[in-house]
Amino acid sequence: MSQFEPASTQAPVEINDEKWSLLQSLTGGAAALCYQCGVCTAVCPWTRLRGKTTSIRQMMRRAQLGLPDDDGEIWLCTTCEQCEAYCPRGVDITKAIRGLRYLAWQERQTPAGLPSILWSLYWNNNPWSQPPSSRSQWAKDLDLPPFDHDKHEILLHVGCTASYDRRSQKVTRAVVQLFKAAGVSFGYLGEDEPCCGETALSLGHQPFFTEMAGQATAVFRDKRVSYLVTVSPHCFDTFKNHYAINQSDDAGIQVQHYSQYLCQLVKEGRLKFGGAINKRLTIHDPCILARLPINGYSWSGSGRNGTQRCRHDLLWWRWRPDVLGE
Amino acid sequence: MCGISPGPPGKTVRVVAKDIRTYSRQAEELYEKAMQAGVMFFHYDSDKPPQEAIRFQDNYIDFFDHYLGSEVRIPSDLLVLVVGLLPADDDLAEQLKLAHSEDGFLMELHPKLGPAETATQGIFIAGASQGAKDVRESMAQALAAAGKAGALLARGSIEKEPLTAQVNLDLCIGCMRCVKVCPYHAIEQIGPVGKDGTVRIQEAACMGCGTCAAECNFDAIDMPYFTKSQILAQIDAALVEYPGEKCLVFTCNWCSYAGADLAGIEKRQYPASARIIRTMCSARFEEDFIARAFEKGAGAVLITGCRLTETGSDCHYNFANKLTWKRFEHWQRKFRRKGIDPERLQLRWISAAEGKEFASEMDEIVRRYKAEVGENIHVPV
Repeated sequence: MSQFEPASTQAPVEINDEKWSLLQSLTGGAAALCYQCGVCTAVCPWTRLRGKTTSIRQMMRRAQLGLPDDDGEIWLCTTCEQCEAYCPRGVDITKAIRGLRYLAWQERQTPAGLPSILWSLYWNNNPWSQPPSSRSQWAKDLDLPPFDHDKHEILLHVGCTASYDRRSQKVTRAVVQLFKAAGVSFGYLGEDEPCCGETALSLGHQPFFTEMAGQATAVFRDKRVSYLVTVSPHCFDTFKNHYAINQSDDAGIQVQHYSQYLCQLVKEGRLKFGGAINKRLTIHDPCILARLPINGYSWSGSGRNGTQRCRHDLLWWRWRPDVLGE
Repeated sequence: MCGISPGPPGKTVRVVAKDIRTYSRQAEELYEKAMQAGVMFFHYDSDKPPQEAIRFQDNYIDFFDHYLGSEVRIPSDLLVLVVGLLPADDDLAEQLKLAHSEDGFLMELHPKLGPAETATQGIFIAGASQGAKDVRESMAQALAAAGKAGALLARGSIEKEPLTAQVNLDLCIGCMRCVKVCPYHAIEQIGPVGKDGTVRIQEAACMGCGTCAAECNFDAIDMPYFTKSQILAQIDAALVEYPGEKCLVFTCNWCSYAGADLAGIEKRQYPASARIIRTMCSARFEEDFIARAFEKGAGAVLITGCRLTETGSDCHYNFANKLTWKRFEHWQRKFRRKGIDPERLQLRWISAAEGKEFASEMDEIVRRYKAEVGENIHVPV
């Protein structure tokens, strides 16, 4: 036992009912089921990256007890959900971490620079401190129409990163090219496009995220959007799993990631390949899209030995050009 | 666990435990439900007793939380110690001759084949007399016990094997030693201790182990089919030729005889000089048998029986082999005084599954006494 004995100078951690019940109500007791096996710590990419243990397990213990973070480690988490994919108890680890982050906001214990990101969301409608007026710069020569419910099948939701980031802009433009090739009638919201608020959510500022989500939903309702296709997987995850836009509802909005929508276009025969593509495909394991089956993607294989095969339909089709009959 | 549920609003329940194990049906679900409802669970230092590991002072509970890796301090109005379940403090087990486990709870006959029965026929156990268990389990066991008892009563009579002890009242001097050693309270004392008293065997209760026959110094009790004269005749027959190289093995019906049998089934090689004599229980072996064997010049005598360890006994007659052990120690001292090398009288516990062990024990014993008596094989002693 002696190896676990605390240093005599270490002050005991005091459990505070108020903080605990705040965390409990915020996360719905997400960490309660954790039995401290530590698989999360073992699989966290940060551990490999830093060559130093990043104890997600201890974060879960803190979340169970309502203890605010004490060493800033919670801010490392990118919410990639690798740990959740392996958790034997099905603990919503990122939810618990977001709860801990909110406690830190409450305690004013956030790393320097984080508040300015939230301020950027507030003032600029994007986390990148970019002017709202240049949100549609990427499309200036594309002649895209603003979304019109009566004319357009889908609303293309570009998202902040795909709008401002130079590399991501290429992706957005390629998506537009593909949609045009398939003859999809679509529009976008240009400078009126709301930020999904994923940054506020991940940073754990739940109240601000709720406010942003309310504003974005109001915009979509106002434009009478019923089918929304996102460029960013993060926007997709946020709309699908963190917004209250119920798809079964009549007034609900169907949300898809562009890769899912493209797959649908291929299946319907609206998008055709020019010929067989006999190329080896390496897939970056996309955290938001492929980690959990919840987002409509599935992976075969255990996912532990690196021999997984992507079963996402689109990639499957491209792997088997013979199936396409070309 | 059933008691752990979130109390009225504003009250928080926290459980500080050495460890938690949920084993009965739905218990894990209950545990999870409690966790999700906001009951906090802590583990205190398992190397220390709770009074050392946990401190309660000025409405604060302090202890070391392994998972957190630091001392934890919980403001609390009340610290409740949940004590473990203890067996009833009475001499019921002694009165009924029931076996009990190390922790004092009554023991079943067999965990799987006789969960409600005891080693004493006609006595059944249920519920917390056997150990901590919940209502559901207690009910199931009580139904089983009642069923067993009902079956006994409904028949009106019981069938016994014809192995129950027989008393020769002419020889009985009323010493009552058999009454004391009977593992089943099957021998009733009639009259006072001494010449005027005598005993009566309750055949319904007697299981036929023969402990009493071995205890009686006056040959007043004999066991049918395992009578003293029969066994002595077996000993004589076994030692007619070359007794010096023979090893006489006394086995009990249930374990060591079956173990020897298994050695044969498994085609294991062991010295051909072994001569096996079977009784129902090792507690049947009496001093006269050993004495006769050495009188006839037996090379070695091996006493075997069901396994007996510090924590329990596999004996099929309610721990009767504890007496075998006591007697064996007495005999060794006695024969040593008579000038017989104690190496020549050995005791081994061998279970029915230990054919291999039986063979290797035989090998060892024969090697030992051969070293003692030298290589004077085929020379009648």
